[in-house]
Amino acid sequence: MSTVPAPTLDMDLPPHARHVPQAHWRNAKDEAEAAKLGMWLFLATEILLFSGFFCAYAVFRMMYPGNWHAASSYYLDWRIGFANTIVLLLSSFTVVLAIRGAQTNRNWMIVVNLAITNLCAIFFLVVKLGWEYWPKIQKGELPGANFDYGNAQGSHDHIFLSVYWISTATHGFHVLVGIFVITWAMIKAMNKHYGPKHYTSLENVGLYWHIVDVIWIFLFPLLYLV
Amino acid sequence: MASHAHHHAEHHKHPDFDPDETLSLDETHEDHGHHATPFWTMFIVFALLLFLTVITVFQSRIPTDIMPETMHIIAAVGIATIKALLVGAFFMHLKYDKPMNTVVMSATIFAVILFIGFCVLDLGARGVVERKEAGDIYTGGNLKLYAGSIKPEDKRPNHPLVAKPDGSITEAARKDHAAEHGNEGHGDAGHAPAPADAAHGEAKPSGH
Repeated sequence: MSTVPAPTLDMDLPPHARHVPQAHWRNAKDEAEAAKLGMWLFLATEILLFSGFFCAYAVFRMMYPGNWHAASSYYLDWRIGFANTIVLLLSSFTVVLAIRGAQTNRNWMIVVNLAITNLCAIFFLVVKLGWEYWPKIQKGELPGANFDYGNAQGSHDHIFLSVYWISTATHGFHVLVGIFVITWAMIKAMNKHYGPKHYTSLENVGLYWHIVDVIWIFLFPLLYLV
Repeated sequence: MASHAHHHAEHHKHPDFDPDETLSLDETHEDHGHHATPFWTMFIVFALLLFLTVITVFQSRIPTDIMPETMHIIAAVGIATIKALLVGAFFMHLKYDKPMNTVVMSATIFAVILFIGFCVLDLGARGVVERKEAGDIYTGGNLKLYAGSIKPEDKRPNHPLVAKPDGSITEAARKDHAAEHGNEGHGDAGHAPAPADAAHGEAKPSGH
């Protein structure tokens, strides 16, 4: 029986300290930077996806200028949007702290901050579904030809609601996906996969979460305020 | 020999240009790690983001006779852009990364500006260019376009797609509501009283 030589890696080290780049990478730094560049390319497609909704917003608002702001303040409560904005900004900050935890080799800091991030994300979705979507569905404040609300205040409320529903629902779906990937990163962190030398996937999950935040930064004032 | 050793040490100061370099476990390259995120910088950015969120709420409360609606939109998008730049530069590390990620993002933003900007230019210029055709374009759209999407089981008599293909969906919903609940339609507890349609509605399309 051939004996496999014991690996020279110190198996007492946590996984992140044992990380070796894939063979086709010159070093771990190149590997991490390439992964990050790939993530940024994905984020570019995300921005282009949402730019379609922002374009629809611009076009419809130009077509129905008188109706728009009235519909916005009639159907949406800015305080709900404000609370959700604060929560998303906080969750972005905790993602930053989680990455700092990896850089400074404090595993508890990664796990705790990702947990706070996820709580914020769940808060966001609960508020959105419970205080916005569900009452709107019950009242018939629905997009386009599904509009069935008896107390419409203008002649084109359904157009505003179309833009509102499609953009916030797509954003909400991204928040939901975010909860899954943050949970995945949390599990990896619990298994000590992130440390000062290796935290690429944590960073990419963070980038994704930040772009979800950035999209909301634009959606909030445009839909709820002006 | 000594000179070779010296040369080797010099070499390692520039790992980016060392084709032989691989990661060995006992190597401790400080610059292999990423830029460690400074806590207080990030905290200040977070505080700024919260501050700008409050500012944008206050800005939206400025009455429209002081600040016209167009200026409101420009200001809101401006503040949101500053917030997005803060998140991008600091939270997303663009300030600390190699510039390639910023190049990708800038190209994307450029595409978005082209996309939305030209749509807005087109729509905004319809009253100026080809005036004759512009007269036929009216706000509200023509629901006939969507007549195919109405379900046969939708028996609502006032539905614009059933009764009057040029009507408004909101008007149809209002009539349905009135038919079901008598005529006390306006007065939903969840909302402020509905303003008069004339004040906020669109100008009726001419010629229809």
